[in-house]
Amino acid sequence: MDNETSILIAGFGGQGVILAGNVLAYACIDAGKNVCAMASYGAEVRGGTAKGVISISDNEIDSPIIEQANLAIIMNAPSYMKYAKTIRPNSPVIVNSSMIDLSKTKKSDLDIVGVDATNLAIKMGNIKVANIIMLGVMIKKTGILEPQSVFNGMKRAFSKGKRGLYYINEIAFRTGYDLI
Amino acid sequence: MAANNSTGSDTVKVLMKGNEAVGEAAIKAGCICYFAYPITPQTETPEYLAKRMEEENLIFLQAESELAAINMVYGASAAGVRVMTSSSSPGISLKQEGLSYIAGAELPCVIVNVVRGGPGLGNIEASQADYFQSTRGGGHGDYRCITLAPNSVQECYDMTMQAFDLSDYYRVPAIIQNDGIIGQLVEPFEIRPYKPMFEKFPPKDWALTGCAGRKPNVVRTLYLNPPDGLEQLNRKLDKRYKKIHDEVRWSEEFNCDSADLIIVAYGSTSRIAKSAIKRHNQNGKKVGMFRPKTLWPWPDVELVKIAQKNKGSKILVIEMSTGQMLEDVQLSLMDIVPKTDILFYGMGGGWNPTPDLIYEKISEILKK
Repeated sequence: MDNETSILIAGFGGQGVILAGNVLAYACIDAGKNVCAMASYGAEVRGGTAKGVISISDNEIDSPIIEQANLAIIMNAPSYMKYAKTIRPNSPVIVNSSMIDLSKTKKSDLDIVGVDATNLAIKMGNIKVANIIMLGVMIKKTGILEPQSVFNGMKRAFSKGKRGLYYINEIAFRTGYDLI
Repeated sequence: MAANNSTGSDTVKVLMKGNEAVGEAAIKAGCICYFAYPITPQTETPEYLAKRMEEENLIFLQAESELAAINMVYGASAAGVRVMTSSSSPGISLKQEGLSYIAGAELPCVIVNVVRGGPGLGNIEASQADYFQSTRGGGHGDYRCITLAPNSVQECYDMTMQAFDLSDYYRVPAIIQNDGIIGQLVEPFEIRPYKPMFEKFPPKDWALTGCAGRKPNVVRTLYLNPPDGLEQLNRKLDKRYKKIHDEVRWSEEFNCDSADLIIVAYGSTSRIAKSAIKRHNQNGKKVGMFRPKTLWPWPDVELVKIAQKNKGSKILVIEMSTGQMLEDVQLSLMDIVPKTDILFYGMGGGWNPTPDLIYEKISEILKK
């Protein structure tokens, strides 16, 4: 339990919250770690908040329900308002500063890392890769996985009809990874 | 999240939701027909099967209602094929009339219930409040359904295949009682090839397959003549249920040697409880867990054995309901554990415990 990393990923529907979780989970399989993920389900609407919690551990993961995440990626302001208080104090939180005013995050007891992810993604030509830029920053910040595992995970997450999306996502990841 | 079949190996770990794993297992076990109607939190099963069954040239049909779906199951089963339906609590209630008929006609089928909060339309949160419904028959008349309770995505996959086997072997409906947490959970698991549980299955010589060259078969549930016809059917079923109780009681124990407190929990609750138990074990506290994997037949003999080797220990039943399995625990242990030593922690309505809540509850009990 104590050496478990519980990662909260939140944003609005369409920002690739679930996809980022998918990539992360496949990367964990590649790295031989145990992983278990719960996405919010049910009465969700397009443009509403989407949330997933991913637990990673070298040991068996028992409870799929976690009290507090100890690492987070937050993609938009409403998600920050909603979920910041549920994260364990002093945990690293990667926030998308293109959509979250960093002056509002100053008061918190979290280890905030601002990333201008949406604007960087637009410059790369695909706004949708903001999530993977954030993932790159998170992996660099925490070292929980080797980049190679993430690339292997991406190859599985972008399989079949989505294979063409692999390269831009690899570049997005490297962009994030090299930011800090 | 979608299946990923990028490699050809049978034991590669894939990532799926519990609900999707149920669907893949059904296909692997030779399910020919699937009939259902969408409802949260089980809709990933029909969503997954809509795609996969077409690929495999099998029959997927989204019925106009739950009632229609269960009667299609009745028909397909009478025709001798492996068939499945799935739903969540309010939808399963709608299916109970058909389920009673299927049980009365001694037909096999698999029914998946991803339980949500009730009564009524309730809510869409995970719950375990359909325990009575699953284990006591659910519809009218004296009948039982084999009820399996997975607590991981791997078990969603394995138990669905086993449910088909058990149902065919004993000619009773089999239920997978899941809940919104395990159904929605994404975990890596192994897509194992289907291995039948039994070497030989009884031939389906009762099936309606066209009677050219033989006497017509009749599948029915109405017994008016002779007057004791229905009694005979009930005697036969009763004998069968006792045989199932003798042969299919599945459970698992964790740290149940010289425990001061034994938790009894199933499904997602057992996983949440295990986190709390491990924390207590690390602090030197002797807490164990008994987890039924079959809710019916209830593993009473196994629980009695554990209670006997832990004389004087307390029992704590944890459920996402106001106490349903609790009654089975009390009945099993009535001669060996004082009723006041069987404690309960739980609530219905979509409430779910957390490791912290269970940890606190255990501390409270151990202090007394």
